[in-house]
Amino acid sequence: MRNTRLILAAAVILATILFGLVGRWVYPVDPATRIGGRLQPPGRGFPLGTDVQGRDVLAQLIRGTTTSLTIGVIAASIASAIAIIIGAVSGYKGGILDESLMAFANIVLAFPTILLLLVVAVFVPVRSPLVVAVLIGFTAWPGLARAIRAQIMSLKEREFVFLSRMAGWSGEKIVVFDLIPNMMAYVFTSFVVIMSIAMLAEAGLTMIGVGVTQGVSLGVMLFWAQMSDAVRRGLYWLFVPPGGVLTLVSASLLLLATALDQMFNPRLRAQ
Amino acid sequence: MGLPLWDQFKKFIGQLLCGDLGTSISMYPRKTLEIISLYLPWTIGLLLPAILVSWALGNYLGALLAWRRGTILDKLLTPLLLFISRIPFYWFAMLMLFGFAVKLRFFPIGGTYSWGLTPNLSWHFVIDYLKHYVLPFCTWVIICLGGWAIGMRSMMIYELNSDYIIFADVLGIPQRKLLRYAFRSACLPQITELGLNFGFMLSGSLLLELVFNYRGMGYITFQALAALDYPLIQGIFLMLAATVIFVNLFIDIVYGLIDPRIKAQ
Repeated sequence: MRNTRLILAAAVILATILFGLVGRWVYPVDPATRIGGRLQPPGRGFPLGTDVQGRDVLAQLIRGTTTSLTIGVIAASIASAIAIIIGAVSGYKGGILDESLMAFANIVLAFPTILLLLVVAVFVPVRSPLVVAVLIGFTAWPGLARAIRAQIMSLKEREFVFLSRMAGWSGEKIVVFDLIPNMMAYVFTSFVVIMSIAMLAEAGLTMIGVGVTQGVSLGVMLFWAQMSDAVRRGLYWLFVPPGGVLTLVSASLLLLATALDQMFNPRLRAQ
Repeated sequence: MGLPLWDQFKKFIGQLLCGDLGTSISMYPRKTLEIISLYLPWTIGLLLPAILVSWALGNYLGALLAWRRGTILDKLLTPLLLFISRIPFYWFAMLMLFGFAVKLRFFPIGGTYSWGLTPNLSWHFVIDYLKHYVLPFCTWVIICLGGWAIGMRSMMIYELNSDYIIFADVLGIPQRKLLRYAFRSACLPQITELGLNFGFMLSGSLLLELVFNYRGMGYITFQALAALDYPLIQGIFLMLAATVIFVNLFIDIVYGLIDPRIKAQ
């Protein structure tokens, strides 16, 4: 049961990655140029139809999937790095530093990403996927930081840490070589969760007009669909594919996270 | 304009304290505050009942699933709720609109009320408004339901396995009463979650309005961004930030009232 879940989730994610990477060689159509009539439904020549400007939807979907996955990976990397640093410092040092860092984490946690992006949208009218990924990463760390802090606080009272301290190790060395390696399984699981959250956030923020404005991502496709009033005009091929891929990827990422959690955590496995 | 940055900022704060958020560029010559106060009630009217209903319903459902865990009901409903909470909500809204309004024609295809009507309290208008209201409301409730139910289910299972419930069970206290004790304890973290998720829900409702073409804050946010209407964007930013802060403050106060441990301190 546990392994089938893991394999299923990993297979779907791998398939989406390959769809984006191999797709552009198998289906070498430029997503930005007009290749046919406007708003052609799926059929011969265009497997997923064309959009308002006669551009191929499948070609957009192939590029968009890669862009969205990349945004997810970049955002999750940044968020995990910030979370490890803040969580470790907060948990190991304690005291006033801990309290102020955790207060800051709570503020970021309650503050919606859309507010940060509203401000950025005013000053940066052209936003690449990278900019949006970095901004999402900067707002997605607090949950993980709090969890790491809690784990550090319990780990630092263990015997192997006392032994290291007796051996004359500095605090930094203990954190980096004793404590953080003990949490890598947890960090990796969280990385997967943050990645799925970041991909969903990108699409939502882009759809409302504060996200990506350059290139094609799944969010940009949904934005275009919204702009051309696709739902009301019954142009299902404009909004079903990007949302479908997004749902598939985010659901498999979360399935992967639960499977990894059970694999790394023997206590959950027993249940 | 033309003043040093610091003086501009002082002037801005002064005007802000007088309730003056400047004049909109795209909807000139209307004041930013006037535009926001025109659209905000519609957003509150949709968001607040939807949040409360989904929270209450989700908690009830979660408690039920925890109580009946391991039964067919739990085994079918829990994965379904998990899956629904994983669908991107804006896409789910698009599918709902496409299915129920465009294809099945059960509901109007978006908008707040029919063209040509002016908001008033006549039956005609209220019924027309409710027809437009049902689909975004139900969409929002379904989307949020899963998250609350899953959270409540695990909290309830934790509470039902805790020592005080087992002890009360040994004492022979009726099952219904046990359930109520556990439910009350399990509600506390759900209230905290409500505060933490409020910002997310607020930005989510902006997107939901966009999909349903509902004329609230989401609509003017989109318009302001498309027209780069700085004073209006700034006004919306301040309004959203203030709402998130006040809701969290309010929940902190409520928390003090309902949790005896905090009240005692």
